[in-house]
Amino acid sequence: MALLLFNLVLILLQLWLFVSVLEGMLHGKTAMALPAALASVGLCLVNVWMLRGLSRG
Amino acid sequence: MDKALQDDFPIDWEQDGFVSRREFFKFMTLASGGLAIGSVGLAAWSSALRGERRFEPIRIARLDEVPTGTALGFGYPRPSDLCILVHHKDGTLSAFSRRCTHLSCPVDYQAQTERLFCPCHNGAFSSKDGSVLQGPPPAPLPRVLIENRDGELWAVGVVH
Ligand code: FES
Repeated sequence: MALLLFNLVLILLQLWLFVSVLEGMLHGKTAMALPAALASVGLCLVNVWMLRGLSRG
Repeated sequence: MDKALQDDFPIDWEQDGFVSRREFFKFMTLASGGLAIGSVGLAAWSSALRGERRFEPIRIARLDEVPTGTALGFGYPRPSDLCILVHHKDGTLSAFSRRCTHLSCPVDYQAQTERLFCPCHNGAFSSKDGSVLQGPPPAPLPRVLIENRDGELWAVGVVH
């Protein structure tokens, strides 16, 4: 259950990153797009890693 | 239901609609992958938007049609993309998109202060480099690249 909650928190974080980058881009700010994409991919990898652990356990 | 049939196909209807935590976790991880791909797409899009982009050159005017200390409006790269060419008092030229980076109102050239002023929310940009001087605009004005070809001024590209 704790893992599931953590997974949800990570996804909310990704959603927040996505929306803030989109909003920034609509205001002409593009500097955040690449770091946010890297962070989002990192969070996704953590989720995949947790899923693999769950499937093995 | 036939007892033999039920033994052969033991469906537990109560469990049938149940989504296990593992399945839910899988679904959420898939959503996470989707968001990561979306973010990478945004990054690719933003890098395509940045930097210098060349378009079909268009003739703006003859240099002597724009006296120093004045400005001239034109459309580039499409006629509906409002831009402004400024002939500075020191003889140099610069051109920018006229769309204010705040909420897209058209900016006007103010010769006394040498700035591009947005009347909507009192935003102002430098008419030399397009940087923000005052007000709410979050980013400089995109610059239009100008070429002087034998006294004729041509717009050849846009720098974001
Ligand atoms: S639209 Fe130009 S300052 Fe708001």
